[in-house]
Amino acid sequence: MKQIVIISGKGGTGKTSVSASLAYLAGSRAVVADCDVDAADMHLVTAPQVLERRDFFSGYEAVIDPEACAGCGDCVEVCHFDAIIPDGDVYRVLPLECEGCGYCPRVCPVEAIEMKLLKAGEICVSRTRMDNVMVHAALKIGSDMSGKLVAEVRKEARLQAEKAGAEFVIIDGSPGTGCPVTASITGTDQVVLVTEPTLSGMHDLKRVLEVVENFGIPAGMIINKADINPEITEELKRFAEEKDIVLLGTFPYDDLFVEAVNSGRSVAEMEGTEPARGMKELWGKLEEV
Amino acid sequence: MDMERGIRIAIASGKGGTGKTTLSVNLAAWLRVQAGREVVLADLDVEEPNSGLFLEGRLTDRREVFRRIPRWNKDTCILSGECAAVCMYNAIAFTGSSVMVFPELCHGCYACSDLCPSGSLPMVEDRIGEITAYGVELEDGNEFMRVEGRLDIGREMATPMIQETIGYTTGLAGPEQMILFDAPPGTSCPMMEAAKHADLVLLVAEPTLFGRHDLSLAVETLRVLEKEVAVVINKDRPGETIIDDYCSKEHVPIAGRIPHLTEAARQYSKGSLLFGKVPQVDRALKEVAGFLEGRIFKTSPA
Repeated sequence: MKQIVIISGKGGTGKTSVSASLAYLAGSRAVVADCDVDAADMHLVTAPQVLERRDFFSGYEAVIDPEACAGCGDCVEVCHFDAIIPDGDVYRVLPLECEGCGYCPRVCPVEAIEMKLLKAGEICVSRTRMDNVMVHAALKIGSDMSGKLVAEVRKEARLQAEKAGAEFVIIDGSPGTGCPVTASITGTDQVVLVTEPTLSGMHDLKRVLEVVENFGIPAGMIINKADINPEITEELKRFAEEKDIVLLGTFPYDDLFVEAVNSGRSVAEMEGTEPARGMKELWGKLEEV
Repeated sequence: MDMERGIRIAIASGKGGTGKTTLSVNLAAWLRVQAGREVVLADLDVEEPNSGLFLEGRLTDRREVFRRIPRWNKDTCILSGECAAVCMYNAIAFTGSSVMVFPELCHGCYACSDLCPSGSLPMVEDRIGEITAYGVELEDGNEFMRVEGRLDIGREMATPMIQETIGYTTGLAGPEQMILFDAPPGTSCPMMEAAKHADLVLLVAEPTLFGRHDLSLAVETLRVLEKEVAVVINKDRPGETIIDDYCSKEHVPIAGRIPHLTEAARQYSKGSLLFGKVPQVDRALKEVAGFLEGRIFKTSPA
Protein backbone atom coordinates (compact mmCIF):
# COMPACT_ATOMS: atom_id res chain seq x y z
CA MET A 1 0.00 0.00 0.00
CA LYS A 2 1.31 3.41 -0.96
CA GLN A 3 0.49 6.53 1.02
CA ILE A 4 0.47 9.82 -0.89
CA VAL A 5 0.07 13.08 1.02
CA ILE A 6 -0.88 16.37 -0.64
CA ILE A 7 0.26 19.50 1.19
CA SER A 8 0.77 23.15 0.32
CA GLY A 9 2.19 25.19 3.18
CA LYS A 10 0.07 28.14 2.07
CA GLY A 11 -3.71 27.91 1.85
CA GLY A 12 -5.69 28.50 -1.32
CA THR A 13 -3.19 27.01 -3.76
CA GLY A 14 -5.55 24.26 -4.95
CA LYS A 15 -4.48 21.45 -2.64
CA THR A 16 -7.96 20.10 -2.05
CA SER A 17 -8.81 20.42 -5.76
CA VAL A 18 -5.82 18.20 -6.50
CA SER A 19 -6.66 15.74 -3.70
CA ALA A 20 -10.27 15.39 -4.80
CA SER A 21 -9.20 14.86 -8.41
CA LEU A 22 -6.79 12.11 -7.39
CA ALA A 23 -9.53 10.52 -5.28
CA TYR A 24 -11.83 10.53 -8.32
CA LEU A 25 -9.20 9.08 -10.64
CA ALA A 26 -8.16 6.37 -8.20
CA GLY A 27 -11.72 5.33 -7.33
CA SER A 28 -11.94 2.12 -5.31
CA ARG A 29 -8.17 1.60 -5.56
CA ALA A 30 -7.66 4.32 -2.94
CA VAL A 31 -8.76 5.08 0.57
CA VAL A 32 -8.99 8.82 1.06
CA ALA A 33 -8.08 10.57 4.32
CA ASP A 34 -9.06 14.19 4.93
CA CYS A 35 -6.38 15.48 7.29
CA ASP A 36 -6.90 19.16 6.56
CA VAL A 37 -8.17 19.69 10.06
CA ASP A 38 -8.55 23.45 9.74
CA ALA A 39 -10.58 23.41 6.57
CA ALA A 40 -11.88 19.92 5.97
CA ASP A 41 -13.55 20.64 2.65
CA MET A 42 -13.04 17.50 0.64
CA HIS A 43 -16.45 16.12 1.57
CA LEU A 44 -18.06 19.00 -0.32
CA VAL A 45 -16.78 17.41 -3.54
CA THR A 46 -16.65 13.70 -2.70
CA ALA A 47 -20.11 13.56 -1.05
CA PRO A 48 -19.37 10.78 1.44
CA GLN A 49 -22.12 8.57 2.84
CA VAL A 50 -21.21 7.78 6.42
CA LEU A 51 -20.91 4.06 7.17
CA GLU A 52 -19.48 4.23 10.67
CA ARG A 53 -18.90 7.05 13.09
CA ARG A 54 -17.32 7.08 16.50
CA ASP A 55 -16.47 9.66 19.10
CA PHE A 56 -12.91 10.78 19.43
CA PHE A 57 -11.77 11.69 22.92
CA SER A 58 -8.66 13.64 23.60
CA GLY A 59 -7.51 15.91 26.35
CA TYR A 60 -8.99 16.77 29.71
CA GLU A 61 -10.66 19.67 31.37
CA ALA A 62 -10.76 20.44 35.08
CA VAL A 63 -14.22 20.69 36.62
CA ILE A 64 -14.74 22.13 40.10
CA ASP A 65 -17.70 20.82 42.10
CA PRO A 66 -19.16 24.01 43.61
CA GLU A 67 -20.77 22.01 46.44
CA ALA A 68 -17.42 20.58 47.50
CA CYS A 69 -15.20 23.63 46.86
CA ALA A 70 -13.93 25.19 50.08
CA GLY A 71 -13.00 28.44 48.35
CA CYS A 72 -9.34 28.33 49.44
CA GLY A 73 -7.99 29.36 46.02
CA ASP A 74 -5.05 26.94 46.06
CA CYS A 75 -6.03 25.89 42.54
CA VAL A 76 -5.79 29.47 41.26
CA GLU A 77 -2.29 29.73 42.72
CA VAL A 78 -0.94 26.79 40.73
CA CYS A 79 -2.75 27.35 37.43
CA HIS A 80 -0.36 28.77 34.84
CA PHE A 81 -3.10 29.28 32.27
CA ASP A 82 -5.30 31.72 34.24
CA ALA A 83 -8.11 29.25 33.74
CA ILE A 84 -9.67 29.46 37.22
CA ILE A 85 -11.70 32.43 38.41
CA PRO A 86 -13.70 33.25 41.55
CA ASP A 87 -17.44 32.62 41.32
CA GLY A 88 -19.14 33.85 44.50
CA ASP A 89 -17.56 32.06 47.45
CA VAL A 90 -16.11 29.31 45.29
CA TYR A 91 -14.07 28.97 42.10
CA ARG A 92 -14.83 27.82 38.60
CA VAL A 93 -12.84 26.75 35.52
CA LEU A 94 -12.93 28.60 32.19
CA PRO A 95 -13.13 25.70 29.73
CA LEU A 96 -11.57 27.63 26.82
CA GLU A 97 -8.51 28.48 28.91
CA CYS A 98 -8.00 25.14 30.67
CA GLU A 99 -5.14 23.09 29.21
CA GLY A 100 -6.12 19.96 31.09
CA CYS A 101 -2.76 19.66 32.84
CA GLY A 102 -4.20 18.09 35.99
CA TYR A 103 -2.16 20.22 38.39
CA CYS A 104 -5.10 21.80 40.28
CA PRO A 105 -6.77 18.55 41.46
CA ARG A 106 -3.43 17.55 42.98
CA VAL A 107 -3.36 20.57 45.26
CA CYS A 108 -7.06 20.81 46.11
CA PRO A 109 -7.32 20.02 49.84
CA VAL A 110 -10.96 18.91 49.63
CA GLU A 111 -10.77 16.93 46.36
CA ALA A 112 -13.36 19.13 44.70
CA ILE A 113 -11.72 19.04 41.25
CA GLU A 114 -12.14 16.29 38.71
CA MET A 115 -10.43 15.88 35.35
CA LYS A 116 -13.07 15.21 32.72
CA LEU A 117 -12.10 13.43 29.49
CA LEU A 118 -13.19 15.56 26.55
CA LYS A 119 -14.89 14.59 23.34
CA ALA A 120 -12.77 16.31 20.69
CA GLY A 121 -14.85 15.29 17.72
CA GLU A 122 -16.01 12.42 15.58
CA ILE A 123 -14.20 10.18 13.16
CA CYS A 124 -16.25 8.95 10.21
CA VAL A 125 -15.64 6.11 7.79
CA SER A 126 -17.66 6.75 4.64
CA ARG A 127 -18.08 5.78 1.03
CA THR A 128 -17.72 8.59 -1.48
CA ARG A 129 -19.68 8.97 -4.71
CA MET A 130 -16.30 8.31 -6.36
CA ASP A 131 -16.27 4.81 -4.86
CA ASN A 132 -13.45 5.44 -2.38
CA VAL A 133 -13.59 4.61 1.26
CA MET A 134 -13.02 7.96 2.97
CA VAL A 135 -11.92 8.63 6.53
CA HIS A 136 -12.69 12.11 7.80
CA ALA A 137 -13.28 13.88 11.05
CA ALA A 138 -15.35 16.63 12.49
CA LEU A 139 -13.59 18.49 15.26
CA LYS A 140 -15.70 20.07 17.97
CA ILE A 141 -15.49 23.86 18.01
CA GLY A 142 -12.65 25.06 20.18
CA SER A 143 -10.94 21.67 20.31
CA ASP A 144 -7.23 21.86 19.79
CA MET A 145 -6.31 18.28 19.28
CA SER A 146 -5.61 18.55 15.59
CA GLY A 147 -2.28 16.69 15.56
CA LYS A 148 -3.71 13.76 17.48
CA LEU A 149 -6.83 13.75 15.38
CA VAL A 150 -4.76 13.65 12.19
CA ALA A 151 -2.83 10.69 13.57
CA GLU A 152 -6.12 8.98 14.39
CA VAL A 153 -7.56 9.61 10.90
CA ARG A 154 -4.35 8.30 9.34
CA LYS A 155 -4.45 5.14 11.43
CA GLU A 156 -8.05 4.45 10.53
CA ALA A 157 -7.31 5.07 6.83
CA ARG A 158 -4.49 2.51 6.90
CA LEU A 159 -6.72 -0.05 8.57
CA GLN A 160 -9.44 0.57 6.00
CA ALA A 161 -6.95 0.26 3.14
CA GLU A 162 -5.68 -3.06 4.50
CA LYS A 163 -9.21 -4.32 4.96
CA ALA A 164 -10.26 -3.36 1.44
CA GLY A 165 -6.95 -4.31 -0.15
CA ALA A 166 -6.62 -0.76 -1.51
CA GLU A 167 -3.36 0.09 -3.28
CA PHE A 168 -3.27 3.74 -2.22
CA VAL A 169 -4.06 6.02 0.67
CA ILE A 170 -4.56 9.58 -0.59
CA ILE A 171 -4.16 12.12 2.20
CA ASP A 172 -5.35 15.71 1.94
CA GLY A 173 -2.81 17.17 4.37
CA SER A 174 -2.92 20.00 6.86
CA PRO A 175 -1.70 23.53 6.24
CA GLY A 176 1.07 25.25 8.16
CA THR A 177 4.32 23.88 9.53
CA GLY A 178 3.18 22.64 12.94
CA CYS A 179 2.01 19.45 14.53
CA PRO A 180 -0.90 18.64 12.16
CA VAL A 181 1.28 18.81 9.06
CA THR A 182 3.94 16.67 10.73
CA ALA A 183 1.27 14.13 11.59
CA SER A 184 0.01 14.28 7.99
CA ILE A 185 3.43 13.54 6.50
CA THR A 186 4.97 11.01 8.86
CA GLY A 187 5.21 7.50 7.44
CA THR A 188 3.99 8.39 3.94
CA ASP A 189 5.68 7.24 0.72
CA GLN A 190 5.24 10.35 -1.41
CA VAL A 191 4.70 14.02 -0.68
CA VAL A 192 2.96 16.18 -3.30
CA LEU A 193 3.50 19.91 -2.79
CA VAL A 194 0.89 22.14 -4.39
CA THR A 195 2.19 25.66 -4.77
CA GLU A 196 1.60 28.88 -6.69
CA PRO A 197 4.05 31.39 -8.16
CA THR A 198 3.58 34.12 -5.59
CA LEU A 199 6.07 35.40 -3.05
CA SER A 200 3.90 34.03 -0.25
CA GLY A 201 3.54 30.66 -2.01
CA MET A 202 7.30 30.42 -2.44
CA HIS A 203 7.98 31.50 1.14
CA ASP A 204 5.55 28.98 2.64
CA LEU A 205 6.77 26.22 0.36
CA LYS A 206 10.30 26.67 1.64
CA ARG A 207 9.13 26.58 5.24
CA VAL A 208 7.06 23.44 4.84
CA LEU A 209 9.84 21.77 2.85
CA GLU A 210 12.07 22.04 5.91
CA VAL A 211 9.53 19.83 7.68
CA VAL A 212 9.37 17.39 4.74
CA GLU A 213 13.16 17.14 4.53
CA ASN A 214 13.29 15.95 8.14
CA PHE A 215 11.41 12.84 7.06
CA GLY A 216 13.45 12.09 3.93
CA ILE A 217 10.30 11.30 1.94
CA PRO A 218 10.42 11.81 -1.85
CA ALA A 219 8.61 14.99 -2.85
CA GLY A 220 6.97 16.14 -6.07
CA MET A 221 5.68 19.60 -6.94
CA ILE A 222 2.66 20.98 -8.73
CA ILE A 223 2.70 24.64 -9.73
CA ASN A 224 -0.85 25.94 -9.91
CA LYS A 225 -1.77 29.30 -11.48
CA ALA A 226 1.65 29.13 -13.19
CA ASP A 227 0.96 32.01 -15.59
CA ILE A 228 0.20 34.56 -12.86
CA ASN A 229 3.91 35.20 -12.48
CA PRO A 230 6.15 33.41 -15.03
CA GLU A 231 9.35 34.61 -13.34
CA ILE A 232 8.47 33.08 -9.97
CA THR A 233 7.28 29.94 -11.79
CA GLU A 234 10.78 29.62 -13.28
CA GLU A 235 12.29 30.24 -9.87
CA LEU A 236 10.10 27.52 -8.37
CA LYS A 237 11.24 25.10 -11.08
CA ARG A 238 14.90 25.87 -10.41
CA PHE A 239 14.30 25.51 -6.68
CA ALA A 240 12.64 22.12 -7.25
CA GLU A 241 15.60 20.92 -9.28
CA GLU A 242 18.06 22.01 -6.61
CA LYS A 243 16.11 20.20 -3.93
CA ASP A 244 15.54 17.01 -5.95
CA ILE A 245 11.84 17.62 -6.12
CA VAL A 246 10.17 16.12 -9.20
CA LEU A 247 8.02 18.61 -11.10
CA LEU A 248 4.77 16.67 -11.45
CA GLY A 249 2.85 19.27 -13.42
CA THR A 250 1.87 22.88 -13.94
CA PHE A 251 -1.61 24.34 -14.29
CA PRO A 252 -2.35 27.79 -15.68
CA TYR A 253 -4.76 30.01 -13.76
CA ASP A 254 -8.23 28.76 -14.65
CA ASP A 255 -11.68 29.75 -13.37
CA LEU A 256 -12.57 26.13 -14.00
CA PHE A 257 -11.17 25.26 -10.54
CA VAL A 258 -13.84 27.50 -8.96
CA GLU A 259 -16.53 26.27 -11.36
CA ALA A 260 -15.75 22.67 -10.46
CA VAL A 261 -15.94 23.30 -6.70
CA ASN A 262 -19.12 25.33 -6.95
CA SER A 263 -20.80 22.52 -8.88
CA GLY A 264 -19.61 19.96 -6.32
CA ARG A 265 -17.22 18.27 -8.73
CA SER A 266 -13.51 17.60 -8.81
CA VAL A 267 -11.43 19.24 -11.55
CA ALA A 268 -10.74 15.79 -13.02
CA GLU A 269 -14.45 15.42 -13.75
CA MET A 270 -14.61 18.54 -15.94
CA GLU A 271 -14.56 16.35 -19.04
CA GLY A 272 -12.78 17.58 -22.14
CA THR A 273 -10.94 20.43 -20.41
CA GLU A 274 -7.22 21.06 -20.16
CA PRO A 275 -7.08 21.00 -16.32
CA ALA A 276 -8.93 17.66 -16.27
CA ARG A 277 -6.38 16.22 -18.68
CA GLY A 278 -3.61 17.64 -16.48
CA MET A 279 -5.03 15.85 -13.43
CA LYS A 280 -5.13 12.54 -15.36
CA GLU A 281 -1.51 12.99 -16.36
CA LEU A 282 -0.60 13.77 -12.76
CA TRP A 283 -2.32 10.66 -11.47
CA GLY A 284 -0.54 8.60 -14.14
CA LYS A 285 2.80 9.84 -12.79
CA LEU A 286 1.88 9.18 -9.17
CA GLU A 287 0.68 5.67 -9.97
CA GLU A 288 4.08 4.85 -11.38
CA VAL A 289 6.38 6.48 -8.82
CA MET B 1 -15.76 49.51 23.99
CA ASP B 2 -12.62 50.30 25.92
CA MET B 3 -11.15 53.26 24.05
CA GLU B 4 -8.28 53.63 26.49
CA ARG B 5 -6.28 50.87 24.96
CA GLY B 6 -6.81 51.43 21.27
CA ILE B 7 -9.08 49.65 18.85
CA ARG B 8 -8.25 46.11 17.86
CA ILE B 9 -9.46 44.51 14.67
CA ALA B 10 -8.60 40.89 13.83
CA ILE B 11 -8.55 39.85 10.19
CA ALA B 12 -9.13 36.14 9.97
CA SER B 13 -10.50 33.41 7.74
CA GLY B 14 -11.71 29.85 8.21
CA LYS B 15 -9.50 28.73 5.36
CA GLY B 16 -6.03 29.81 4.27
CA GLY B 17 -5.37 31.60 1.01
CA THR B 18 -8.56 33.65 0.96
CA GLY B 19 -6.88 37.06 1.05
CA LYS B 20 -6.45 37.63 4.78
CA THR B 21 -2.97 39.07 4.46
CA THR B 22 -3.92 41.02 1.32
CA LEU B 23 -6.68 42.75 3.26
CA SER B 24 -4.48 43.28 6.35
CA VAL B 25 -1.58 44.98 4.61
CA ASN B 26 -3.68 47.08 2.25
CA LEU B 27 -6.18 48.11 4.90
CA ALA B 28 -3.33 49.17 7.18
CA ALA B 29 -1.92 51.34 4.39
CA TRP B 30 -5.36 52.76 3.55
CA LEU B 31 -6.16 53.64 7.15
CA ARG B 32 -2.78 55.32 7.56
CA VAL B 33 -2.82 57.34 4.36
CA GLN B 34 -6.48 57.97 3.59
CA ALA B 35 -7.98 58.08 7.07
CA GLY B 36 -4.92 59.47 8.86
CA ARG B 37 -5.17 56.83 11.57
CA GLU B 38 -2.31 55.72 13.79
CA VAL B 39 -1.99 52.09 12.75
CA VAL B 40 -0.05 49.09 13.99
CA LEU B 41 -0.22 45.88 12.01
CA ALA B 42 0.61 42.72 13.96
CA ASP B 43 1.27 39.57 11.95
CA LEU B 44 0.00 36.75 14.15
CA ASP B 45 0.18 34.06 11.48
CA VAL B 46 3.24 32.86 13.36
CA GLU B 47 3.72 29.64 11.39
CA GLU B 48 3.75 31.52 8.10
CA PRO B 49 4.03 35.27 8.64
CA ASN B 50 3.84 36.77 5.17
CA SER B 51 2.86 40.40 5.66
CA GLY B 52 6.52 41.42 5.41
CA LEU B 53 6.60 40.27 1.80
CA PHE B 54 4.26 43.16 0.96
CA LEU B 55 5.59 45.82 3.30
CA GLU B 56 9.21 46.78 3.31
CA GLY B 57 10.33 48.39 6.49
CA ARG B 58 13.35 49.10 8.59
CA LEU B 59 13.91 46.86 11.56
CA THR B 60 13.37 48.75 14.81
CA ASP B 61 13.33 45.95 17.37
CA ARG B 62 14.00 42.26 17.63
CA ARG B 63 13.52 40.02 20.62
CA GLU B 64 13.60 36.33 21.24
CA VAL B 65 10.57 34.63 22.73
CA PHE B 66 11.01 31.97 25.33
CA ARG B 67 8.72 29.78 27.29
CA ARG B 68 9.66 27.72 30.30
CA ILE B 69 10.07 23.96 30.36
CA PRO B 70 11.51 21.59 32.97
CA ARG B 71 15.13 20.42 32.82
CA TRP B 72 16.19 17.33 34.69
CA ASN B 73 18.91 17.68 37.28
CA LYS B 74 20.27 14.19 37.63
CA ASP B 75 22.54 15.01 40.56
CA THR B 76 19.70 15.83 42.94
CA CYS B 77 17.01 13.48 41.52
CA ILE B 78 15.86 10.80 43.95
CA LEU B 79 14.09 8.82 41.20
CA SER B 80 10.62 9.06 42.72
CA GLY B 81 8.95 8.97 39.31
CA GLU B 82 6.47 11.59 40.50
CA CYS B 83 7.18 13.85 37.50
CA ALA B 84 6.15 11.28 34.91
CA ALA B 85 3.13 10.33 37.00
CA VAL B 86 1.77 13.89 37.14
CA CYS B 87 2.41 14.83 33.50
CA MET B 88 -0.80 14.59 31.46
CA TYR B 89 0.99 15.14 28.16
CA ASN B 90 3.51 12.28 28.23
CA ALA B 91 6.20 14.94 28.06
CA ILE B 92 8.23 13.17 30.75
CA ALA B 93 9.42 9.60 30.66
CA PHE B 94 10.73 7.86 33.77
CA THR B 95 12.80 4.76 33.07
CA GLY B 96 13.51 3.80 36.69
CA SER B 97 17.04 5.11 36.51
CA SER B 98 16.64 8.32 34.54
CA VAL B 99 14.16 11.02 33.51
CA MET B 100 13.66 12.28 29.97
CA VAL B 101 11.89 15.50 29.01
CA PHE B 102 10.22 15.84 25.58
CA PRO B 103 9.94 19.62 25.06
CA GLU B 104 7.60 19.38 22.05
CA LEU B 105 4.97 17.70 24.22
CA CYS B 106 5.33 20.01 27.21
CA HIS B 107 2.55 22.56 27.83
CA GLY B 108 4.48 24.38 30.55
CA CYS B 109 2.07 23.67 33.41
CA TYR B 110 4.85 23.45 36.05
CA ALA B 111 3.22 20.45 37.76
CA CYS B 112 6.27 18.18 37.44
CA SER B 113 8.64 20.93 38.53
CA ASP B 114 6.62 22.11 41.54
CA LEU B 115 5.63 18.63 42.71
CA CYS B 116 9.07 17.03 42.39
CA PRO B 117 9.99 16.02 45.95
CA SER B 118 13.68 16.85 45.44
CA GLY B 119 13.30 19.97 43.27
CA SER B 120 15.16 18.28 40.43
CA LEU B 121 13.16 19.68 37.53
CA PRO B 122 13.76 23.42 37.55
CA MET B 123 11.93 25.37 34.84
CA VAL B 124 14.36 26.82 32.29
CA GLU B 125 14.03 29.03 29.23
CA ASP B 126 13.28 27.40 25.89
CA ARG B 127 13.28 29.51 22.73
CA ILE B 128 10.15 29.19 20.58
CA GLY B 129 10.60 32.04 18.14
CA GLU B 130 11.12 35.76 17.80
CA ILE B 131 9.24 39.01 17.53
CA THR B 132 10.44 41.71 15.17
CA ALA B 133 9.14 45.26 14.72
CA TYR B 134 9.50 47.41 11.62
CA GLY B 135 8.83 50.99 10.63
CA VAL B 136 7.00 50.69 7.33
CA GLU B 137 7.40 53.69 5.09
CA LEU B 138 4.76 54.24 2.45
CA GLU B 139 5.55 56.03 -0.79
CA ASP B 140 4.11 59.35 0.32
CA GLY B 141 6.17 59.54 3.50
CA ASN B 142 3.48 58.14 5.78
CA GLU B 143 4.71 55.56 8.21
CA PHE B 144 3.23 52.84 10.38
CA MET B 145 4.54 50.04 12.52
CA ARG B 146 4.46 46.38 11.65
CA VAL B 147 5.09 43.71 14.28
CA GLU B 148 5.73 40.12 13.33
CA GLY B 149 5.70 36.97 15.45
CA ARG B 150 7.64 34.11 13.91
CA LEU B 151 7.65 30.63 15.40
CA ASP B 152 10.83 28.60 14.94
CA ILE B 153 10.25 25.81 12.41
CA GLY B 154 8.91 22.59 13.87
CA ARG B 155 7.77 24.21 17.12
CA GLU B 156 4.22 23.51 18.19
CA MET B 157 3.83 26.55 20.37
CA ALA B 158 1.74 28.79 18.12
CA THR B 159 -0.63 29.94 20.86
CA PRO B 160 2.03 31.16 23.35
CA MET B 161 3.88 32.80 20.44
CA ILE B 162 0.68 34.64 19.48
CA GLN B 163 0.07 35.71 23.07
CA GLU B 164 3.57 37.13 23.30
CA THR B 165 3.20 38.99 20.02
CA ILE B 166 -0.14 40.47 21.07
CA GLY B 167 1.33 41.50 24.42
CA TYR B 168 4.28 43.16 22.71
CA THR B 169 2.04 45.01 20.23
CA THR B 170 -0.53 46.25 22.72
CA GLY B 171 2.30 47.37 24.98
CA LEU B 172 3.45 49.72 22.23
CA ALA B 173 0.12 51.05 21.10
CA GLY B 174 -1.44 54.13 22.63
CA PRO B 175 -5.14 54.86 23.02
CA GLU B 176 -5.36 56.54 19.61
CA GLN B 177 -3.91 53.57 17.88
CA MET B 178 -5.76 51.15 15.69
CA ILE B 179 -4.26 47.67 15.86
CA LEU B 180 -4.85 45.23 13.02
CA PHE B 181 -4.15 41.57 13.78
CA ASP B 182 -3.36 39.44 10.74
CA ALA B 183 -4.66 36.26 12.38
CA PRO B 184 -3.66 32.66 11.65
CA PRO B 185 -6.10 30.81 9.38
CA GLY B 186 -8.44 28.07 10.53
CA THR B 187 -10.74 27.74 13.50
CA SER B 188 -8.54 26.14 16.13
CA CYS B 189 -6.72 27.62 19.15
CA PRO B 190 -4.29 29.93 17.32
CA MET B 191 -7.09 31.73 15.46
CA MET B 192 -9.20 31.88 18.61
CA GLU B 193 -6.30 33.33 20.55
CA ALA B 194 -5.97 36.19 18.06
CA ALA B 195 -9.74 36.76 17.92
CA LYS B 196 -10.06 36.76 21.70
CA HIS B 197 -8.08 39.99 21.94
CA ALA B 198 -10.00 41.81 19.20
CA ASP B 199 -12.99 44.13 19.43
CA LEU B 200 -14.22 43.00 16.04
CA VAL B 201 -13.25 40.22 13.67
CA LEU B 202 -13.28 40.65 9.90
CA LEU B 203 -13.56 37.27 8.20
CA VAL B 204 -12.30 37.14 4.64
CA ALA B 205 -14.16 34.64 2.44
CA GLU B 206 -14.15 33.67 -1.21
CA PRO B 207 -17.43 33.01 -2.98
CA THR B 208 -16.95 29.25 -3.44
CA LEU B 209 -18.48 26.20 -1.74
CA PHE B 210 -15.21 25.70 0.14
CA GLY B 211 -15.22 29.37 1.10
CA ARG B 212 -18.76 29.25 2.45
CA HIS B 213 -18.13 26.09 4.42
CA ASP B 214 -14.96 27.42 6.05
CA LEU B 215 -16.64 30.75 6.73
CA SER B 216 -19.49 29.01 8.52
CA LEU B 217 -17.02 27.15 10.76
CA ALA B 218 -15.25 30.40 11.59
CA VAL B 219 -18.51 32.20 12.37
CA GLU B 220 -19.61 29.37 14.68
CA THR B 221 -16.27 29.45 16.47
CA LEU B 222 -16.41 33.21 16.96
CA ARG B 223 -19.94 32.92 18.31
CA VAL B 224 -18.57 30.71 21.07
CA LEU B 225 -16.24 33.61 21.89
CA GLU B 226 -19.16 36.05 21.59
CA LYS B 227 -17.23 38.20 19.14
CA GLU B 228 -18.63 40.78 16.81
CA VAL B 229 -18.04 39.54 13.27
CA ALA B 230 -18.26 40.99 9.76
CA VAL B 231 -17.37 39.49 6.39
CA VAL B 232 -15.22 40.81 3.57
CA ILE B 233 -15.80 38.96 0.32
CA ASN B 234 -12.60 38.53 -1.68
CA LYS B 235 -12.49 37.60 -5.39
CA ASP B 236 -16.08 38.76 -5.56
CA ARG B 237 -17.81 37.94 -8.84
CA PRO B 238 -20.93 39.63 -10.09
CA GLY B 239 -23.88 37.26 -9.83
CA GLU B 240 -22.20 34.87 -7.38
CA THR B 241 -24.23 35.23 -4.18
CA ILE B 242 -23.13 32.17 -2.21
CA ILE B 243 -21.54 34.25 0.59
CA ASP B 244 -24.25 36.95 0.49
CA ASP B 245 -26.91 34.27 0.97
CA TYR B 246 -25.05 32.77 3.90
CA CYS B 247 -24.53 36.17 5.53
CA SER B 248 -28.14 37.24 5.21
CA LYS B 249 -29.32 33.92 6.62
CA GLU B 250 -26.92 34.15 9.57
CA HIS B 251 -27.32 37.92 10.05
CA VAL B 252 -23.64 38.58 9.57
CA PRO B 253 -22.91 42.03 8.07
CA ILE B 254 -20.79 42.37 4.93
CA ALA B 255 -18.13 45.02 5.46
CA GLY B 256 -16.95 45.14 1.87
CA ARG B 257 -16.10 43.27 -1.32
CA ILE B 258 -12.83 43.05 -3.17
CA PRO B 259 -13.56 42.20 -6.80
CA HIS B 260 -12.03 39.23 -8.62
CA LEU B 261 -9.30 40.79 -10.80
CA THR B 262 -6.41 39.19 -12.62
CA GLU B 263 -4.46 42.41 -12.10
CA ALA B 264 -4.84 42.06 -8.33
CA ALA B 265 -3.56 38.48 -8.51
CA ARG B 266 -0.56 39.63 -10.55
CA GLN B 267 0.34 42.45 -8.16
CA TYR B 268 -0.10 40.09 -5.21
CA SER B 269 2.21 37.49 -6.75
CA LYS B 270 5.03 40.06 -6.89
CA GLY B 271 4.48 41.08 -3.30
CA SER B 272 3.09 44.50 -4.23
CA LEU B 273 0.53 46.46 -2.30
CA LEU B 274 -2.73 46.82 -4.24
CA PHE B 275 -3.50 50.07 -2.44
CA GLY B 276 -2.99 52.97 -4.81
CA LYS B 277 -2.45 50.65 -7.78
CA VAL B 278 -5.76 48.95 -8.40
CA PRO B 279 -8.63 51.48 -8.19
CA GLN B 280 -11.29 48.82 -7.64
CA VAL B 281 -9.37 47.60 -4.61
CA ASP B 282 -9.06 51.16 -3.27
CA ARG B 283 -12.84 51.45 -3.47
CA ALA B 284 -13.19 48.17 -1.57
CA LEU B 285 -10.78 49.33 1.13
CA LYS B 286 -12.73 52.56 1.51
CA GLU B 287 -15.90 50.53 1.94
CA VAL B 288 -14.31 48.34 4.64
CA ALA B 289 -12.77 51.34 6.42
CA GLY B 290 -16.13 53.11 6.33
CA PHE B 291 -17.76 50.07 7.87
CA LEU B 292 -15.16 49.97 10.65
CA GLU B 293 -15.47 53.70 11.32
CA GLY B 294 -19.22 53.35 11.68
CA ARG B 295 -18.97 50.24 13.82
CA ILE B 296 -16.13 51.18 16.09
CA PHE B 297 -15.85 54.94 16.18
CA LYS B 298 -19.55 55.51 15.51
CA THR B 299 -18.61 58.28 13.11
CA SER B 300 -19.12 58.76 9.41
CA PRO B 301 -16.44 57.53 7.01
CA ALA B 302 -13.39 59.72 6.55
